[in-house]
Amino acid sequence: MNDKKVMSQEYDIQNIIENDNNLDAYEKKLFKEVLLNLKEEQRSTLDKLRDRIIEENEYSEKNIWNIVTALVPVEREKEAVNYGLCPYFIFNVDERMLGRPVKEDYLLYVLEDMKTSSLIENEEGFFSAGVTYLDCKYSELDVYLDKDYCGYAVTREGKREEIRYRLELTDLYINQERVLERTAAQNEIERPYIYSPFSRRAVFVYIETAQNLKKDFERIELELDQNGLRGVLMAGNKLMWNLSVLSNDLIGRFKENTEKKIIPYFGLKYVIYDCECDENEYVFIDDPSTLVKRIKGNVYLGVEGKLLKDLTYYKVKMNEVLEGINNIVTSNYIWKNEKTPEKLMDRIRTEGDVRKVLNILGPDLNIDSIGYKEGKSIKTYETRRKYYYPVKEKLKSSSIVYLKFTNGDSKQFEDKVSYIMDFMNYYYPEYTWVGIE
Amino acid sequence: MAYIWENYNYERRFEVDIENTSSYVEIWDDGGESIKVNVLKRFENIFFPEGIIKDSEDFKELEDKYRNIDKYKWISNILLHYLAQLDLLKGITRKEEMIQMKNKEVHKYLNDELNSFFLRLNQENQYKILNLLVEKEKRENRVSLFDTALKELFGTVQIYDDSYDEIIYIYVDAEENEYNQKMYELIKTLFKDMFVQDYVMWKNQHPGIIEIEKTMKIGLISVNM
Repeated sequence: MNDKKVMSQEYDIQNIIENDNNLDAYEKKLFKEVLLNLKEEQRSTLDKLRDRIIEENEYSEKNIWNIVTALVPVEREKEAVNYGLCPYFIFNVDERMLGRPVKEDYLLYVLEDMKTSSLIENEEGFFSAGVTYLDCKYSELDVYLDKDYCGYAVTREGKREEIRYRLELTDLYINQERVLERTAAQNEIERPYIYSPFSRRAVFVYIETAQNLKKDFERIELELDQNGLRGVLMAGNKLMWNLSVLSNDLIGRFKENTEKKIIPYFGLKYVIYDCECDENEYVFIDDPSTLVKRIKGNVYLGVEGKLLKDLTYYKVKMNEVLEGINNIVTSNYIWKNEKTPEKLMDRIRTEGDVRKVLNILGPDLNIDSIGYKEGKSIKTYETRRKYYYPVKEKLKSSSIVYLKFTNGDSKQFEDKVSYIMDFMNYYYPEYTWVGIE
Repeated sequence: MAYIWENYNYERRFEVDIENTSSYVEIWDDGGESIKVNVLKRFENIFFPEGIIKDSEDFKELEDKYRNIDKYKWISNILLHYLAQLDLLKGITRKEEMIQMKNKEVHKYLNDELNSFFLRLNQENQYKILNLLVEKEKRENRVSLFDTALKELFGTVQIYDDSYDEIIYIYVDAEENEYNQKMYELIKTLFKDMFVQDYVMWKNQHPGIIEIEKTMKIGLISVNM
C-alpha cells in the first residue's frame, strides 16, 4: 500500500471521527489519538516481524570477514595502501607457536631486472631474488618447478655471465592465512572467507652457480622470454590483502596500572585484561590457552592463573577496500569475496540444497550436474594448501558427492573449484565432495 | 493464558481492567462475562495516549470511562479484538514473509530451465512449492518432504520402496507429458534426497500387481487370474 493511500485512509478515519455527532470534543480527540497509535502499533509490529525474519536468515555482518586479496604492481603499492590494501603480515611460523610478526621489509619481490645488491645470500650459498608468482593453471605449476632456468649476471661494463636459477613454491602466504583463521576463531568470527589463488602460486627465485655474484656483478636478468616464462612469472608484483597487523610493542603490552579482574571460568581462574579495540580491530594472541572475549565492543583477554605484566598481543585490523582499487589492479588480479550474509543450512539433503549453498559461495562457476560420476576429477589443492585447515577427517562410509563444473578454461578454474570443495568438505563433512569436469 | 490472542474467541468480550489483573499477565479470565485486560502491559500508548494524559488525574478519569461508560467499553472491546487479531495475523504474516523470502531465494539457485518452468507455474502451485520449502526449513531438513510434495502437486501418487535395490519406484497418476516431467524434475531437485535413486512411472505404466485389478493390464489386454 503506498503512502498516499495510507494517508488518505488516515484522513478518512479522522474525518469520520470529526463528523460523528455522538462524540464530544474530548472523545473525538481521544479516538483520533487512539487510532493513530493503533496504526503505529500495526506498522511497528509488521516491521519488527520482517526484521526478525531477515535477522534469523542472515549472519550478522560482523561475523563474516570478507577478505580482499590482490596482486599489485610493486610500483603502485603506495596507491594500493591508500585504497585499503596492506602488505601481508609476516609471522615466523613454526609447528608449536605462531611467534611474533616481523617486518615485511625483509621480503624481496622479484623484478625482471634486479640489482645484485638487493639479493640475499642464504646459508646454503644460494642467492634469493625474493618472491614472485606463477600465473598459470594450478595443475600446470609442476611444469615450471624443479628445473633450471638460464639468466645473466651483468657487470657495470655490460659483461654478461650465464647464471642458473630455480623456482621453489613457498607456503609463506598460506601460513599467514592460518594466523588469520586463528584470529577469527579467537574473536568468534564464524566465516573468514579467503580466496587467494596467488598465495598458492608464490615461488621463491633462487640463483645458483654464481660465485661472488654481489661483488662482481651489478644486476641480473631473468630472461623471461628465453625461458618461456613471459606472461607466467609475475615479476614486479606483490600480493596484498585488506588486513594489517599492529605489532607495535606499546599497543600490545599492558601497563602496570591496567585494571585486572579475576574471574572463574569453566572451573579455572582467569585474570582479565581490558584491551582497547576499534570496531574493525581484532586481537590475536599466540597463546591458545588465553581467552579472547568481545563483549559489547570491549575486548577482554583472560590469562589463566597468574598476573602477567607484559602479555603481548597483536591487533589485526580489517580495512574497507575502496572502489577505486580497480584503477590500479585489473579485475583478473583482485578477488573480493563479497558473500551474502545468508545463513548456511545445517544439513544438506537435496540437489536444491547443494545448489543453494553453492549460490551463497558465489555464482561464478557453472554447475552442470550434481551426484553423477561422469567426468574426470579436477586437480585441487594439496592438503596443506587447502582453505579451512586442518581438514576434518571423514568417515570411511561418507557418501561421495560429485559436482560437475563446466567452464574449465580459465587459469583459476581449479582454484575456484578447490575453494568450493574445501568449503563444502569443511561445512558438510558428512559427505565427501569431489569436483569433476 | 497470558495474552489476548491465546484461546481467542471473537464472541467473548474484552474489558479494560488494570486494577484487578496481575502485572505479569495481560489478561485475567475468571470465566465470567468478559475477559479483563491489563492494557498497560503492551498497549498503554494506544489506550492512554500522551496527547490526552497530562497527569495522573487524566489517567484515572480515562480509566474510569473505559470501565464504566458504555461507549468507551464498546470501543475498547473492539480495539482489543483488533489487537488480538493483529497478534494472530503476525503468525500468518510470518509465514507469508518466509514464503516471499523463499520465492526470492529459489530463483537464485535453480538452473535456467527449472527456473523458467517455476515462473510459468500458476500461483497456486508456486505457493505449494514455496510453502513446502518453508516447512522443510522449519524442520531443519531433518525430514524428507519428497512424497508430500509429489502428492500435493500431482494428487494420486504411489511410492514403492525397494530396499534391496536401494531405489524408489514412484507411480504418478498423471499423463507423461513435458509439463508433468518438468514438474517432477522440479520436485526432485528441491525435495528428493540426493542419494535416493528414483524410477518414475506415469499413468498406465503401473506394473501389474496380483489381485489389484486395475493394474493387471498389458496395453489393452486385461490379465485375469
